[in-house]
Amino acid sequence: MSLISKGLKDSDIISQASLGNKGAYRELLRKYSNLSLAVALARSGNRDKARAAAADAFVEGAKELGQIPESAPISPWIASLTRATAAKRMGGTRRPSLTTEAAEEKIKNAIEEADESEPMTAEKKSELSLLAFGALSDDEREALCLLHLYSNKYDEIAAAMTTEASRIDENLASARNKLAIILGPLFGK
Amino acid sequence: MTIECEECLRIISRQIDRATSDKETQAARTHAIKCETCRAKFNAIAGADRLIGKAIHSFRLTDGFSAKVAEKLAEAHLAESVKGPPKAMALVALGLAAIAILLAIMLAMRSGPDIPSIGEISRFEGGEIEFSQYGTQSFSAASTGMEIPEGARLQTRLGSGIVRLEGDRNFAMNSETLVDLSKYHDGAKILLESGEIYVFVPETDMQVDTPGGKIYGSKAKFIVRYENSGKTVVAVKSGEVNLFSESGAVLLEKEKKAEMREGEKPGAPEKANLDNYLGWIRRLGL
Repeated sequence: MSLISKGLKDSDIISQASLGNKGAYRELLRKYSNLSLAVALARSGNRDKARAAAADAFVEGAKELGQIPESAPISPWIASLTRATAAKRMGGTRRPSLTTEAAEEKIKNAIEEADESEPMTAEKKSELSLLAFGALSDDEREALCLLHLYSNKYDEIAAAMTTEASRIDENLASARNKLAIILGPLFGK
Repeated sequence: MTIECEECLRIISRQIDRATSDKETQAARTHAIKCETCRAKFNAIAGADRLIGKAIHSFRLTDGFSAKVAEKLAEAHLAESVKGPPKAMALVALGLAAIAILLAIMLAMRSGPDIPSIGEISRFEGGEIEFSQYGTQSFSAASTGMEIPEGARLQTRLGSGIVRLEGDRNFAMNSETLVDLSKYHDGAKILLESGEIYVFVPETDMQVDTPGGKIYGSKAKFIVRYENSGKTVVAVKSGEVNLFSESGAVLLEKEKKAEMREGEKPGAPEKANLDNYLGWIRRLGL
């Protein structure tokens, strides 16, 4: 049985982990690794860099375990660590941003270059849909990645991003509206 | 309650996450009846969300990630040792290294080589599934694409969802299903150990075994429930389904049900009231 299912709070898990309880640290990884990945993916847009940055965040986190105030929530702490490690992995550069029109153009070009006699594979569609990420703001990308990888509850996403649930609502609606425009040409392919 | 296009689009976004009130949903519907742009946007937004959700979900982490963290923790400890940390820090580092080594050993025992996939979780209503290989994984309502490794045993802990297996075979699990897929490559069989599943194979066939017998459906949609008392209940929504036990067999047609128990011949077909079985399945949109 996991520590979570025994009803331990996050603060208990942190204090157990800081005392060297391997089960507690494993529980932290289990519960928050996809949150960390979501934040890193939103920042880097690259699978390998995102995984490396998420792993870095947990290594950095292990060093700080004893310094976390008892009542502090864990999700914003891990998200913040990950933003820092992702920035470090990106070498201080920002991922290139695109306008909605430019992203739409890229998708159209990719479709034109594809072999029209073959239906587009799911992998190719996934690859192209990630191109559209470039047209979203950091917050829009982060909210969307957290929604798909961490939690479908706006208040939990808001806690990780240290903002209000209404901001998450705005970010998701805005991101989805842009993606609908950009990815429109992919439907039916 | 009347709304403008901007608010309608926000409600559409919330609808995808099932975060709307009945009032909001009704307001968006009323608006969309009059507004062609918003009607078109609804389909475009839902379609784009499915595409991006699948792409993001393919990044989901598995145990390999924990092993990587364990390895990095061990490296970090070695680096600190070379620098000669103060005594208190050395103790902390020693603790972390111990965690790392234990994690690495545990994960090495658990992970092994890459396991081929036999299908994926194609939709989930939000909740948790325990995989025999990966442990408990949480799913959001929008998440799809988690691969199912060969030999998996899945137990739904919360929520309900749809599993798509190779060969165009599908089944839905509810919040109390335990299913063993280790025999999936052996004649497309799955073993229902407890709870209920809804099999839908409109173009193919599939066999579901329970401790009480075997159920084979071809081009059919049917429900199988295995109860702890040892009773298996099968109800057919469409197509034809055969029930076999060691003592006999029965053919079930559309809208019929039958029960069977280990060592006994399957019971005679009876008229099935499918409304008794299909509540959670309808919520999945099936």
